[in-house]
Amino acid sequence: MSSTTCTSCGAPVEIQNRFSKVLVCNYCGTHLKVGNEGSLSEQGKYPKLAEFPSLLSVGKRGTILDKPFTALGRMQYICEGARYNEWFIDYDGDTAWLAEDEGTYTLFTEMYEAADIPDVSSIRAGQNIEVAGKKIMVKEVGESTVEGGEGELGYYVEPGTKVTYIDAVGDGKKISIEYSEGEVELFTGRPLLRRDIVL
Amino acid sequence: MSGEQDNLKALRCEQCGGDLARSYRIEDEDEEIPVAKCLNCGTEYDQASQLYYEFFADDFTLDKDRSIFKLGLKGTLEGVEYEIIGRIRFQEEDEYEVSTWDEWLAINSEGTYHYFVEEDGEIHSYEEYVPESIDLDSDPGYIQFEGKSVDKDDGYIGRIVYAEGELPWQPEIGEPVTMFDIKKDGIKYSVEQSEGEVSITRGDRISHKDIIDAFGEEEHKQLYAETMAKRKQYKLKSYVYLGVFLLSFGLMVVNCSSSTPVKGVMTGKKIISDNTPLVEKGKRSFFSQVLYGPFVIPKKNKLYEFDFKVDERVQRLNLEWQSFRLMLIEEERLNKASENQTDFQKMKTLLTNIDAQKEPVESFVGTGDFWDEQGYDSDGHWHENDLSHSTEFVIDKAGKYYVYLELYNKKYRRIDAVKFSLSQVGSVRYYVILSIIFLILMLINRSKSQTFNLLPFDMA
Repeated sequence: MSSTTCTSCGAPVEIQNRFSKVLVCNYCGTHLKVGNEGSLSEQGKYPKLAEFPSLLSVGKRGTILDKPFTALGRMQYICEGARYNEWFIDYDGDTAWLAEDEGTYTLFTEMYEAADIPDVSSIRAGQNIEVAGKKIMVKEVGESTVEGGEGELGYYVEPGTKVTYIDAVGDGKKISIEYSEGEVELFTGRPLLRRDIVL
Repeated sequence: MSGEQDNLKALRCEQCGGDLARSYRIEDEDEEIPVAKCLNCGTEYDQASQLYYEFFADDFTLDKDRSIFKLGLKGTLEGVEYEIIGRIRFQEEDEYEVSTWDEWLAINSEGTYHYFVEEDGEIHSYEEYVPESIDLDSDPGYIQFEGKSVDKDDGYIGRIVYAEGELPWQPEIGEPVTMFDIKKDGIKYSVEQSEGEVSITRGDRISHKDIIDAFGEEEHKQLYAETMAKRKQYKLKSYVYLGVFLLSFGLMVVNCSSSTPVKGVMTGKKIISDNTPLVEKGKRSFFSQVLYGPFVIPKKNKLYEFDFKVDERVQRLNLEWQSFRLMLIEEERLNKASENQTDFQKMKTLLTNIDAQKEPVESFVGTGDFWDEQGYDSDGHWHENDLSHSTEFVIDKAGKYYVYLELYNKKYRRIDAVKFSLSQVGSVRYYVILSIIFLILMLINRSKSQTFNLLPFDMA
């Protein structure tokens, strides 16, 4: 953990995880990119996230599947009027993402580069594709908009950015593919029951 | 949603904007298919179109309140509290009759969404499922689901016909969803594919008892208890009727297979005439008369059976016919009518003119035919025959009897080529009737034990 101050308002901020790439100042809402050796650079000031009922909050601790976790931060998205969160968490010493969507939870623990993905405009629900060496079946292709973030985040997408996502299944796992800022990343994970998360 | 229902009344033809009306299309010569038809341009909208479901929306929602679930209903199931917050009703596209099911959306105390699907009196609880493997695309004819092949022809299209409450997405009336119901290892799975999404869920059946205990009002619980008590009664009755049916059936089989031959029926043969030529209407035939007996019929008011056959060891029946008439004559009556059979010619005259007697001499008359034919048809040559005949009767007096047999044949035939026997057989008629009655009663009660229902909603 390292302590520093917001370059915009001077409020104290803490970087809890060495893999965090973005820190959102809790006081002024400035998005701060974390550089090498913990340096901060401003990426813009954005309004606080809309109120959205959630199981977690930044700093919340507990266990997931009996392993300790800490909620470091979240990205909030909006898609066709419905909001969902992706929580950046410290999960048993590693980083992971916990997706929270319409009362369902998915824990994504593995991330892969997915540069070999076919052209997304040709992908449709029900189709089989091979990405990052995995054969997957596409469940949904859609577009959502980043509303903003809070806390610490493992990657940065500017609020207002449209993100194309693909939800899929393969090898008994849930798969999420996200296109943003020229990058394509594939996450694999498993669905959780509410009782799997103990706060 | 009520605003949308009002708008439905103003539906217009998508081609010309004209008014729509109910109509029918005739298919397969006599089947009437309901359609919405434009009064202006004649365009028809059938089950394959989205507008059809908007137009006929009221038809699919007539019984929408006939459910244990309703918006705002709360209940605790397996220790988890649920609140019903939304509903989507589907209609199967291929069905011309109303064939709907409801998917009720509930939110539980943990904030998780849950679906209760109500169809044909059954309720299933569905939750998202991540399969080990699934392939909808590679094989044009089959879906592969965790090693199981599912014929795509087994899928069906569900059309949304009604939606209410809070739903995580905005459904459109008439929106199609392709569905596959898969049963694997006793567990039900559902794969739903719409234009932009595939969802895979796993369902567990929930008993109505659990649902009523969780969500039902006191009145429902009372009616459920009464329904189950009544069903139990019907079930018990069906077992009783089944037992009686099996008993009747068993007795029928026993009686069928038991028979006691009457001895000596073909002894004492007296040939009255042997192949006397006859010409009737220009056709020639032969006529024989034989008197057999006497023999003893031991018991009265019992069922007896004559069995006749052509003995082909004596003479084959070869592309010809033979008719017979038999009379069972009590010895006392025959002797009285023929002066104790002392004069053969008189007896011959009596028997030849037996039909002209003032009072009947015979106690029983039976007739029959034997035949042997062949021909040609589209399948080629055929050959058929009927060389046996049987007839049953009940006699009201035991004692000594004779059989008087008349034979008419197309060609000359030996008299002893016709053989017959007489047996006392078990009467099965009443057992057959009893068996049928109790079988029907058993089936009716069995059906009622599964379908009787006092509740104001369907229950399987």
